[in-house]
Amino acid sequence: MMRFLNVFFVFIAATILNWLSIELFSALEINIGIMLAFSLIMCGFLGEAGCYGFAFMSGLFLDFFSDVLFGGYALVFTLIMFIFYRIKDKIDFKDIGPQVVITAGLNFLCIVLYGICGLLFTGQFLWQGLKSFIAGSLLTGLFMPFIYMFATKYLIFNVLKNNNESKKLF
Amino acid sequence: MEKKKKNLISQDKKYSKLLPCIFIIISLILILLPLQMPINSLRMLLSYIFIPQLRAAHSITIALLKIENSRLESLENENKRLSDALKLTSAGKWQGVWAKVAYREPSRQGSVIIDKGTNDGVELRSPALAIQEGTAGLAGNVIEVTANTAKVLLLNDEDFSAAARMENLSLEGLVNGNGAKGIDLKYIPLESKIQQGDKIYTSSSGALFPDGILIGEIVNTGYGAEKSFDTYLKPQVKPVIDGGSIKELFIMPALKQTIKEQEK
Repeated sequence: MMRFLNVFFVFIAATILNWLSIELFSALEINIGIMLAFSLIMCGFLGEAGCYGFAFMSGLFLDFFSDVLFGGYALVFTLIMFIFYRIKDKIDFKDIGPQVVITAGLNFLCIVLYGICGLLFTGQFLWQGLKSFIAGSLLTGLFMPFIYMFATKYLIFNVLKNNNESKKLF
Repeated sequence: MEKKKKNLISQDKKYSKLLPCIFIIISLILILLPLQMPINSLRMLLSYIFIPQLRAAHSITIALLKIENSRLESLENENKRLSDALKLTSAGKWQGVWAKVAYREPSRQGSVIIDKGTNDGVELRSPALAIQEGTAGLAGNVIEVTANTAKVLLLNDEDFSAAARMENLSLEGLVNGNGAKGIDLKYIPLESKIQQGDKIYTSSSGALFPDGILIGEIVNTGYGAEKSFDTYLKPQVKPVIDGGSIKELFIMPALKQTIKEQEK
């Protein structure tokens, strides 16, 4: 139960940070992938079920505030997490370099997949703009080490950090 | 014990492989279901509840829209009235200026102040016409005038009177304002053959109004209601112009004969 509460706490913190990033960067038409960053971070502390669950819920949260294609981000985040979960054991995600590169790369992929998803289901490519595609992804990658540090220091407690044997959500 | 634990872990792994598929299927169901409208409504509701600024802005917007709506309605009505008015002036039958009702005296409903005065050609005793439901008719006459405003005595006022003639008859009488009851037609001989619906026009014999302005129509001839000592009928006339709802008036120049009388 404490694990679940901690995950919920992280999710709430992620949504607040996401809102702050929108407030700060919407004027520049740049979309920072805060929810994606938190999903990747949480993947290191949760089991497969928790990992997919967190990503799915993060995607659903973004869908809730999106005007088109409800469920699109949930699908894309699940696919992204499927890829990340396959490669995460082969990389050291605690290191800054992989954090920046992987996060930026997955954010690129996320934007492209969401666009394709729109093309498949609405008939038009849901393009977020070149600025958001390049600058948004790069900034997400660059912010990732700070988000990771902030999350592991202040948001993720010992109940999640120490209990790595089973990595069950509850 | 160890074997059991290993079995459980392998079972967990089997289910874990199904998880992405389950989430993808749920996502696809969410995409395919027509949920965008209810989600949008829910989002708006939540925004309305949690963002007080939005709530305040919303109520202000509603108030502004209401004001705008009533303004547009008023403009639409005015547009209709002025379109009718244009028909009257473009026909070239009458000459004069259009004036808006600027003020109504609360204590006296039988007169109005208009926004035109001597600077615009309005003169004392100028006849005032109005259009209601597409029909032009007599509304009153100017009784006071300043440079930029004038006071018009409406035909339903008890002080108002005008010489009138019957449609298609040589009969002439006098119309008098009768407050809320409308107007009375006086001095119609008992033996005259008038009918309900007969129209009444201004007569030039009064020297105040030009001939032929529609005043109203007879709604009650008064036959049978006369008393033994009456020498005239008392028909009831429904004016074509309702003084209470006049918004614009067409002010004609006063008859020269009237002006001469004034000068004397």
